[in-house]
Amino acid sequence: MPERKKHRTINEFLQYLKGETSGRERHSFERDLERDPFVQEALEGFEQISATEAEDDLLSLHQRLARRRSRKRRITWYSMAAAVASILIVGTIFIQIYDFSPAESEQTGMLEEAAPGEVPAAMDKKTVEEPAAAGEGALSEDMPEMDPDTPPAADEEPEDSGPAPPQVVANEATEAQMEERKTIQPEQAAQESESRGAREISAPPAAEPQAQRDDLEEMVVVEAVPAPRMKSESLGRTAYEEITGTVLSAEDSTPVPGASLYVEGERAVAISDVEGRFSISVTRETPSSVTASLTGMETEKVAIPADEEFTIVLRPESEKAMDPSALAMRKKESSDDPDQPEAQLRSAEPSGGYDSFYVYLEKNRRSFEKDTAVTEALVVLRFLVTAQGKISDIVAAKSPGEPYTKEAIRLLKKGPQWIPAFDENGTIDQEVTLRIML
Amino acid sequence: MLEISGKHQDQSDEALLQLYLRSSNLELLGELYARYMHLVYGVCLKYLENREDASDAVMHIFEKLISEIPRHQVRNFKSWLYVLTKNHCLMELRSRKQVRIRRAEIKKELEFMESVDEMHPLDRDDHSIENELRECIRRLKEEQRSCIELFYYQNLCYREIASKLQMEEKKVKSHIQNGKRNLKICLENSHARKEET
Repeated sequence: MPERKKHRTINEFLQYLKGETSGRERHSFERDLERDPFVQEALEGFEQISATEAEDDLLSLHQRLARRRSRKRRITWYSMAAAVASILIVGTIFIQIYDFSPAESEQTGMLEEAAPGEVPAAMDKKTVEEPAAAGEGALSEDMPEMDPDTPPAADEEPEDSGPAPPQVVANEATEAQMEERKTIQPEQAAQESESRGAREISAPPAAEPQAQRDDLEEMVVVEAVPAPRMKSESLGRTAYEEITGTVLSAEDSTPVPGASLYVEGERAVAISDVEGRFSISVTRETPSSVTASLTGMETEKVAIPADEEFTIVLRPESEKAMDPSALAMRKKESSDDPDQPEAQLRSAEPSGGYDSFYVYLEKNRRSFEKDTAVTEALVVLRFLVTAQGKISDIVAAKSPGEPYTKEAIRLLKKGPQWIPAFDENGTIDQEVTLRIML
Repeated sequence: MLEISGKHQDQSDEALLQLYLRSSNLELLGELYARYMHLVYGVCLKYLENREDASDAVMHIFEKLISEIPRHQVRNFKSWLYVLTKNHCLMELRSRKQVRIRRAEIKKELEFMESVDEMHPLDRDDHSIENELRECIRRLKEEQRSCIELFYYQNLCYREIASKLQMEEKKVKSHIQNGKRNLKICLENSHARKEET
């Protein structure tokens, strides 16, 4: 099930609409279509307009979105820290262009924080190339909103061990990650020139469980990258071991992303990625167990087996211990469960589902002159959907008047086919009650 | 030709979403949204039936995304966005015609929609139930059977099937849809029978 579908780009979509594709390409696109109701419905929409219109509209939408995306940028310029950050960046550009040697110490001082060695070169290039970087710097000042969910590890980081994690990532950084670094850097420079940024942008996300927050404040967050990519020599201290594993859900054995993992007595915390994988570097030679936790799940302390790769299975937390939002979510999920034992039974429903049935009603119902006597034109129809999918024995259980009843029945009869209910023995007759608002 | 690419092209939706949640940087959410904006627009077109309303809806949905995302645990961004989009369109339609349909009903639909994620056996890659599937296909009505066979087994596109069978492309699609539905019922029934014995 978790197989990654590559999503169809807008261009592929437009080419399909325009008919610029070969039969084979069309078929492969259509296979995706059959799998994905989202794409299918989108295509139905596009069929109402021409391909050129579609292209125009999408282009202007992208422009609108781009404007919306960057609106915040201007506002945040007011922020003091943003100003400081931009001055620093402008300063860097200036230094780069004129190559002032006296300023060199300042420059390297700043860059060191982000990345050692060869990385500054790449960064310089960027900074000079696009002064717009100043704007990006400002963006990181959206931070007040972000803080509640982010372990303020960096800010309170008391002593040593600091430089390590950023270096790890910086060395490994892809182009995209570099961009991110650039974004976060001025903020760091501005507010924490001492403690170096353990708040690593590429480190996983705000999904840390509440319970772990306090611990996290004391910890360095490292990205859970696969073991081979982690260069132990780039850590400030020697990593003895790399513990890698996978977090799975006890309910359905699917990967659990966003779980926090830590080893007692170690500073490093890892967070499982989308596929539930994690990897932690430990400095002690023989850590005995790893603890995994996630909001809504029981915290699990698992002994590390002899072989390196291992699996941690998280069970859902007992309900009373949960916070209300997690509880609500769980309730919703478990409300599906009562259906489970009788999965062989299925109620009758309009073909295409109730969802499109209501759309059909909206589109086809006749408007009535608003009759003051009738405040709410609700018609409740009761009828039988036979095992053959035919509608019979229609009764109006509730109706404000004859014309309404007639209209409701007309809509029902002219509407989509009904799929009969069935149980383990096949399709069966079933009585259906339908509410129609007119 | 429209070329939309982001800085984080290599990142999965989920990774990008997490980056956004950590930073509240709208650029990131925008990039994620841009991946599916054409689908959102298409669905809006389908329900709202005009270009202007659909375009506005696309922007409204982005705003909705900003406010809704932090409040949900979004596991699969794309299907979540799909539900959000449909939800928005249905509400829009309702308010347009000033019809009050009870909230509870809307809610029910949405939950229903979220659970229909299961893929049709024909669209899955594993062929573990191939024999049963074949058996059920054989029992389909002539038109549905040939459309399904040509599409899933001969790998023809709708258009090619349409010209081969001398029918409209629309018809082809609906035969495939209906055929798939009948297949599902047939498969479920045969499963039920098996479990009994």
